[in-house]
Amino acid sequence: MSTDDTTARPAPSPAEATSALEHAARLAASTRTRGWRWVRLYLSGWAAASVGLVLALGLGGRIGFVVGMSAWAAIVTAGVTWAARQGSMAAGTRRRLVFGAGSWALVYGATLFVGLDRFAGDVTFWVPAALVSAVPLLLAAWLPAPRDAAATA
Amino acid sequence: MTAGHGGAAGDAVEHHPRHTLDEVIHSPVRLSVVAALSGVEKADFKTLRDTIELSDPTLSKQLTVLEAAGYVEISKERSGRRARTWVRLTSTGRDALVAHLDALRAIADLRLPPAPSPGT
Repeated sequence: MSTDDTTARPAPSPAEATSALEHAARLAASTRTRGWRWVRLYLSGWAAASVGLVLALGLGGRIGFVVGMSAWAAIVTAGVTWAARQGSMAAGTRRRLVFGAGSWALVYGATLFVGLDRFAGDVTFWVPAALVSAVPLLLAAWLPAPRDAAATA
Repeated sequence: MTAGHGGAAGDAVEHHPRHTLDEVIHSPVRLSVVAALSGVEKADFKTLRDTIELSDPTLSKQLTVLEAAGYVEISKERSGRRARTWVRLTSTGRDALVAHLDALRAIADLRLPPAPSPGT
């Protein structure tokens, strides 16, 4: 790197400095938005699938179990493959995914533990339970990100 | 450097915010790269390329300069049969970006002194 134009470049004018600042802020916002968008979409899709799965398990009997678990396996495979292809990761993404997955597993496990034994086929239990199973994932998806210390802010 | 210049003129030169501009990210393309990375924990090569609208060789060359300066970390991960290149802004790079943007803000705030009134 014998020649580097950076050292020879004159100082920017105030207008050029303003333009550079705006450009930097735009780029930072663009990657941040892209990084969050897929996480929100992924967790929201998981939440919707969870509603379907819980309803199928609770109300569908043996056929519901087979159909629900098969669809779940396909959706999880597609979702994980899609998430692995995303090209940017916003700060805090891992924490959000762990929180969403962990709290969903607790709610889902508790729902099946209580419901399959005592409320099999009972719509008044399974519809609210299915909706509740989506709540941790939707919270993880849509709770506002903590104010990050963006350098360009 | 301007060290050694005495007097008010020397101070003015010394304190001009251009002296705190970071030489590595004074390049618009490299500033774009670190600014884009500042919005995320990490980004892959393709995302950076598309966001900044650069060709592969140009981005690759600029990343090499930034990595040599310690401003970014580059890692490769296998994803299926493909290798992906991930880029992450280091704390040194983030500090440099913050300082550079502060210098740009100071330059943007510079105003010409008011014109002397007639008769003075």
